[in-house]
Amino acid sequence: MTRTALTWLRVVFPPVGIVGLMVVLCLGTRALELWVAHRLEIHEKFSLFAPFRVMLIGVASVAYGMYRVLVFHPLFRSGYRTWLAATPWTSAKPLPLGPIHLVPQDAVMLGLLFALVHEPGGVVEMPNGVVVHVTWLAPLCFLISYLLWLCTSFTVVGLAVPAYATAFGLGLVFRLSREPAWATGAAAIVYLVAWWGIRQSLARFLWRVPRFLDPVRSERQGSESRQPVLGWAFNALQPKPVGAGIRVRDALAVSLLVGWWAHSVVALIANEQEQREAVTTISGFVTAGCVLSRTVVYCLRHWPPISLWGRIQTLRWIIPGYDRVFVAPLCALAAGLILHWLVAHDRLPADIFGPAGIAVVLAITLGTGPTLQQWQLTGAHRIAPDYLNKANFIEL
Amino acid sequence: MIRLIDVVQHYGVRPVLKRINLEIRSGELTVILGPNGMGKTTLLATMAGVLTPQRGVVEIDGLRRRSSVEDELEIRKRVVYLPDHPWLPKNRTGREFLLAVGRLYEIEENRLIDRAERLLHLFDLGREADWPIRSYSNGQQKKVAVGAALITEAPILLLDEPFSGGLDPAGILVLKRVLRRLATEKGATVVMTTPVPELIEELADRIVVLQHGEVLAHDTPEALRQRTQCPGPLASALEKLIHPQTLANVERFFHEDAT
Repeated sequence: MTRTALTWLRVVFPPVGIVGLMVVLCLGTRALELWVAHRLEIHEKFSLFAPFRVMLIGVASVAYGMYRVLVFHPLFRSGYRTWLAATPWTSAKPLPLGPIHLVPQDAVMLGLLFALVHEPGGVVEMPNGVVVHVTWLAPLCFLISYLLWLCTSFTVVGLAVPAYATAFGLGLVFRLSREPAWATGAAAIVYLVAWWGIRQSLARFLWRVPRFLDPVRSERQGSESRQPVLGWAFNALQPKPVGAGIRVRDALAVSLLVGWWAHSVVALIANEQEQREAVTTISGFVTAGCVLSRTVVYCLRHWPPISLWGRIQTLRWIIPGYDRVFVAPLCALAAGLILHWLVAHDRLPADIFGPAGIAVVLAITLGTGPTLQQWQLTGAHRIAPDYLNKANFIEL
Repeated sequence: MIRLIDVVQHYGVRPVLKRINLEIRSGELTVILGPNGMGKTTLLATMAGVLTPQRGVVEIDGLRRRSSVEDELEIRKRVVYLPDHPWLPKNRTGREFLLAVGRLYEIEENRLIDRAERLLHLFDLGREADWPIRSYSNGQQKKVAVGAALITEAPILLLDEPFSGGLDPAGILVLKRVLRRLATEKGATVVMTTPVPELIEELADRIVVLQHGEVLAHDTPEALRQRTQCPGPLASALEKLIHPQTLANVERFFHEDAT
C-alpha cells in the first residue's frame, strides 16, 4: 500500500533530498519557536521564523513550477528530445518521463508546501511591513512560475496564440495579486489556456529548436559562429534576405503586452505619487531606449547619401528616401514626451495612461515602417562596412 | 546588361559623377579608366548598390536598383562586387571564406567544395588553403578576395582595381586569363576599374574613360585608337585622350629647351 502510494507520488515528485531539507528547515524552525516559547513562557502566538518560512516556501514554490516544466518538457532537455524522436511516441500517448500538465500529485506537493508555511490567521507580516496571505502563497507562486515557463515554451515552438494568451493572463494574475484568492483563480483559468497550448506544442513535435537549446549544435557551431566569416562587401550586399524584423501583428501584440504588464505592476503601488513617479521614470527609459535603439539599428551601417555639410550647402535639407528612417523614432519620441508630460502634470491617471504611453511608443518603434529589410534593400543610403566588428577583419 | 541613366553622385558639395549615361552590354569585359579621384570607384559602387545616386537610376538586366525588395534581392543574386579595399575574416581559413561566400550565393554544396579547391589551386594557394587568412601575405589575401568573387558564379562581376594589392605576375596572368574567358566563354559581364592603362590592352572589349566625373569616352580599344589617331599601343592612345595637357607640357618643355 505504502509502496503503491510512493510509486504514484514519484511520477512528478522533486528529488527527495531537496524536499526533505525544506521539511527539516520548516519543522526545525517551528520546533525552535515552540522551545523558545516554552522556555520564556510565552502563551500567545509566537512565530519568530514565519517570515523565513514564507520566503523559503515562496522560493520552493517558484522552483517547483520551474521544475515541472524544465524537467518534464522535452523541449528543454535535448537528450530526452533526441531519444523521444527515435521512439514511436506521438502526442496522443503520455510522455514517458512524466506529464507536463498538472496532475493530482501536484496537489499533494502543494498541500505539503501549504502545510509547512501555514500560520494561524493565514497571514504573516514580513520585516518590510508587507502582509503575505500564506494560504495562497504556494499555489500562486507555483502557478506563476509554471505558467511563465510554459509561455516560454510556446514562444520557442512558435505557438503565438497560447503564448500571448498565457502572457496576458499572467499580467492579470499580477494585477490581482493584492487579492491572492482572485489571483490564484485567474491563474487557474490561465492554466486552461496553457493546457491547450501544451497539447498544441506536443502535437508539433519535432520542433525546430533554437541553438541555445541544442547543446550538440551549440558546441559544434559555438566557437565558429562567434567568428564572423564574411567581410566587406559580401556581408553588406549578400543576396539572401537579411533581418526581416518583426511582423506588424507581433509588434502590436508585444506592445500591448508590455503595456499591460506595466499597468499590472504599477497598479500594485498604493501611493498615487509614488505610482506617478514610477510610471514617468519607466516611460522615460522606455522612450529613450526605443528611440535610440531603432535609430542605431537602422543607421549604423546605412549612412546618409551626402554629408550634413553637403545638405546645407546644396539646400537639400530633407532627403525623403533617407530621412524616412527618422519618422518612426521621432513619432515615438513625440508620443512618449506628450504622454510623459500629461502624466507627470497630473492631467491623466498614471496607472492607465503611463502604461498606455509605453505601449504606444513600443508599437511605433516596432511596428511602423520601413521594415528593416525594406530599409536595407530599398533605402536611399550609403552602405558602410561594419566598423564595430572591424577587429575581426583584415582590410586589404 | 547594366544601364546608368542620368546618374549624379556627390558625397558633399562637389559632384563626383555628373549625369552619367552608360550602357554595358552582357558578356562584355569593360574597363573603367581614369586618373585618381575622377570617380571610378564611385561609379562602380553605384552600379554595385553600395551608393544610391542623388539623381538618376541604375538598372541591372532591366531591374532598377533599390526599387523594391524583390528586385534588389534578384539583382544581388546576379551581381558580385569586390571593393578596392575588401575586408577578410582574419581568423578564418581561405577555404572557409570561399565556402561561406559560395553558400551565400547558394552554390550547390558538392560543386562549391570542388570549385573552392580548384580556385585555391588556380591562385597557387593549395598549401595555404587551411591556414588563417591573417597568416597570408598581401598578395595572397588579394588572391583569396578575388577567388571569393569568382566562386559566386555571378553573371555580373564588378571588380574595383582587381590587379592592385600586391598580386604577383602569376596572379595577374591568371586573373587576366580567367576574366577574359569568363566573358568570352561563359557570357559573364565584367566591369573593372584600373588606373593603369597598360594592363588592359589584351583584356578590354570596351573602355570607359572617366574624367572629372564625366564619361570622356566609351568605346572599343580600336575605336579609341582611331579617335586619337594613335595606331600604336593602346596606352599611347589613352594617354593622349586622358592626359593631353600633360603630354603638351612635356613637348613644350623639350621644345623650349632646344630653342
